[in-house]
Amino acid sequence: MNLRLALIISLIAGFVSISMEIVWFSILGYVFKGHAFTFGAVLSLILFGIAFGAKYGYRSVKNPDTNVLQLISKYLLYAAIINFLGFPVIAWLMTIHSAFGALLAVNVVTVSGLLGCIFPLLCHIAVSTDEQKVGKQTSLLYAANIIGATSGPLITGYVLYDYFSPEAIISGLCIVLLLLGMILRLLSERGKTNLKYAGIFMLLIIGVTISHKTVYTNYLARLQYQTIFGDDKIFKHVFHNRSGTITVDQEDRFFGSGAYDGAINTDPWVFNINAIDRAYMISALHRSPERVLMIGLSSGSWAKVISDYPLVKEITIVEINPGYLELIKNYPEISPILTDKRIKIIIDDGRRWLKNNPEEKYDLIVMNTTYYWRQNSTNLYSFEYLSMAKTHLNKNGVLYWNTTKCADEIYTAAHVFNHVVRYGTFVAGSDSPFDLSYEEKAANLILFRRQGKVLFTQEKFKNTYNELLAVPIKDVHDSILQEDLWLITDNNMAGEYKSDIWRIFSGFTSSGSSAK
Amino acid sequence: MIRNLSLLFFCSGVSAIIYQIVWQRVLFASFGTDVESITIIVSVFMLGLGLGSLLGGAMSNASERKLINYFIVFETSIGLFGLISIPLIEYISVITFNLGAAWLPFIVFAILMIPTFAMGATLPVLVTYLFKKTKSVGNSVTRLYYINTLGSAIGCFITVGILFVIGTRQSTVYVAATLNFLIAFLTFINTRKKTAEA
Repeated sequence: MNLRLALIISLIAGFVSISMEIVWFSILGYVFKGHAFTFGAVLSLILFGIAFGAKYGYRSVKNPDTNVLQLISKYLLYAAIINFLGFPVIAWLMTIHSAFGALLAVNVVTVSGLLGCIFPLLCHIAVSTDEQKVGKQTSLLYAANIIGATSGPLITGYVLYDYFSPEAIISGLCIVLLLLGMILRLLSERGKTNLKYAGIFMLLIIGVTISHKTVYTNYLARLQYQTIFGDDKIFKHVFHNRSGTITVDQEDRFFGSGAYDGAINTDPWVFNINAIDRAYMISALHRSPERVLMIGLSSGSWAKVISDYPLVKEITIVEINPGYLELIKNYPEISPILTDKRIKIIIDDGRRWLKNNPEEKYDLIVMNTTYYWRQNSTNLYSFEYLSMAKTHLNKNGVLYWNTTKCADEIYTAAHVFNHVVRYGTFVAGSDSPFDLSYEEKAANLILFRRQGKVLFTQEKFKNTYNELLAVPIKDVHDSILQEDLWLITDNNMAGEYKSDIWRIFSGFTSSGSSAK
Repeated sequence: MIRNLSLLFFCSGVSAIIYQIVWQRVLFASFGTDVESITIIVSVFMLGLGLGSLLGGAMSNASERKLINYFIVFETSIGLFGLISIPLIEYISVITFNLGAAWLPFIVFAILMIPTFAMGATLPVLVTYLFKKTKSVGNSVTRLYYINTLGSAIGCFITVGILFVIGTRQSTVYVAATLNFLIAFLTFINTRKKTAEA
C-alpha cells in the first residue's frame, strides 16, 4: 500500500478516535455526573479497547490472502453503526432496567477496539520490510495518527462543540467513518461487488444524516432518569457548548453535565426546592457586605436573592460556562441580573480569576459550589484554594460556600479561618467572629426585597423570617478540629478520591458523618 | 529477551498514563479547568508525543545495541523529569502568571516537551529493535502497541482507583518515576546479560 495513503488514513483514524473519545467523555460524564473516577474509568475502557483491537485485528491478517483494505473498511463500517446506535439504544434499554447501563462500557470498548486495530493493520500493509525504513515509516504513521488525535480536541472539542450537539457530532464522525470505509472498499479491488458495497455505505450515510435527530430524541433524559423516565421527565431546555451540557427539567432544576446545579427559585418558604434560605442567611454573617464576589452563577437564583439585598452595592460573578447566561434569559424572574448595573459577570475559571486578580477585595465571597466528589472539584475547596480566597477578603470579610455535606471541607476551613460556622450544607469562614446580635440580624434580614417589595413583611414569609432569625450561629472551629477528618489539599485530593472510599472500607470517620 | 522487553514496555505504558493523569490535574489546577485550557493541555501533550515519534523514527537506523540504549535514556529522562515535575509545573505557572492566555500553549509545550518527546520516541525505537529480531513489521508494531496500550489501560485504573485513594499526586508520580528507573535498570541488566552470553 502507498505510504502516503496510509498516512492520510492514519491521520483521519486518529482524529475520529480522539473525537469519539471527547464525545464519550461528555456523555458518560453526564451519566456519572462527572464523578472523579469517571475520567480514569472511561479512559481505561478506551485503552483496553484499543489494546485488544490491535491484538485481534492483527490476528485476522495472519492469513496472507486477507484483503487488509477490505478488512479495515469492514471495521470502519461496524464502528460507525455501533457508535451511532449505541447510546440511544442503551439509553432506551436503561429505561427498562438500569443494569443495561453496563452496555455503555461494552459500547466504548467495542468501538475503540474496532478503531484501534487500524494503526497496526496500516503498519502491516504500508511499512516497508527494509530494515533501514521500518522505524522511520512506523514513526511517520504513528505521528500522523497522533497529529490527527491532536486536532481532535482543537476541532471537535473546541470548535464543533460550540456549534453542534453531541448527537450531531457523533453522526458527523460516523459519516466520516462510513465515507472512509467506502473509499477503502472501492480502492481494495475493482468490480461490481464493490459498487454494491459502495451503495450500501451511501445508503447508511443518508440514513444517519436523516435519522440522527429522531434517533437521539430525549436520550440524555433517558440516561439520567433511567427507569423513572416518562413524559414528565423530558427536559425543558438542553443547552450544549464546548464548556459542557446543561439540561433543565420541568421543575426548572438545572443540571450541569448531569449533576444537580441549582434551580430557578427565590422563594424561601413554599417552593424552596433549592434551599434558597441559605442565600438569605448572608444577612446573619456580615454586617454590611457591600462588595460581593460569587464564584459560579448556575441558575442565577442566588445572584438574584443577593442582588435584592440593599446592603450589597456591587456583585462580581465569575462563571466558567457561558451557557448559563443563555438559559437564564428564559426566566424573567431571574434575568434582570443580566442587565443589573451593579452586577458584573465574568466568564472565567474561578480559581484562575482569583489568582490573576490579587488586588480585588470583597466583604463576602459566595460559592454555591458543585459536589465534592466531582472531577477537579478540589480546585475550589482545597486548603490552597481557601487560603488564596482568604487573601481576597476585606477586614471582617466572610467566605461562604457549599460543602455538599463533606465534613472534610469544614475541617479544612478550620485550618484556614479563625472562625467557622455552618448553616445547612453551607459553611462560612472568617478571621473575625460571627457576632451579629439578634437585633442586627433582624434589621438586616428585613431588608430583603422580592419583585421590588419588602419580602419578610409579607404574611406568608413571616414564619420563615422568624425561623431564619432563630438559627443559632455557633462557631464550630474548635470542635471540628477535634474530629478525625481529612485536611483537603491540592496534593491529596481527599474530597474527590478519599472521603467516601475511606469511610466505606475502613470505618474511617470521614466526610458526611458530621455534616448531614 | 523479547518477552522481557514486552513486559518492560507494559510498565512503560503504566507509568506514561500515570504522568498524563497527574500532570493534567496539576496543569488544570495551575492554569484553569475551562475548556480553553483543557484543549490546549491535551493537544500539546499529544503534539509532543507525535513529534517524539518522529524523533524516534529518525533515530531508528541505529544498531540494536544503540536502540536499546536510546530506550534506556528515554525511560531514565522521563523518570528524572517525573521526580521534579509537580514543583516545576507549579513554579512555572507562578513565574509565567502575567504572560496572558496566548502564551499558554507555549508554556505547556515547554514544560511537557522533554517527557512527551521521550514517550513518543520509544515506540518507533522499540519497533525497529523488535523488527530486527522478528523480521515482521505487523507483528512488532502490534505486540508493542498492544502491550503498551494495555499497560496504560491498567495504569488508569491503578491511578484513580488505588494510587489517588491511598496517596497523593506527588506519591503517585514517585511510583511512575520508580517504574521508569526500574525499566531502564532491568533493560540495561538484560542487555548486558545477553551480550555476555553472546
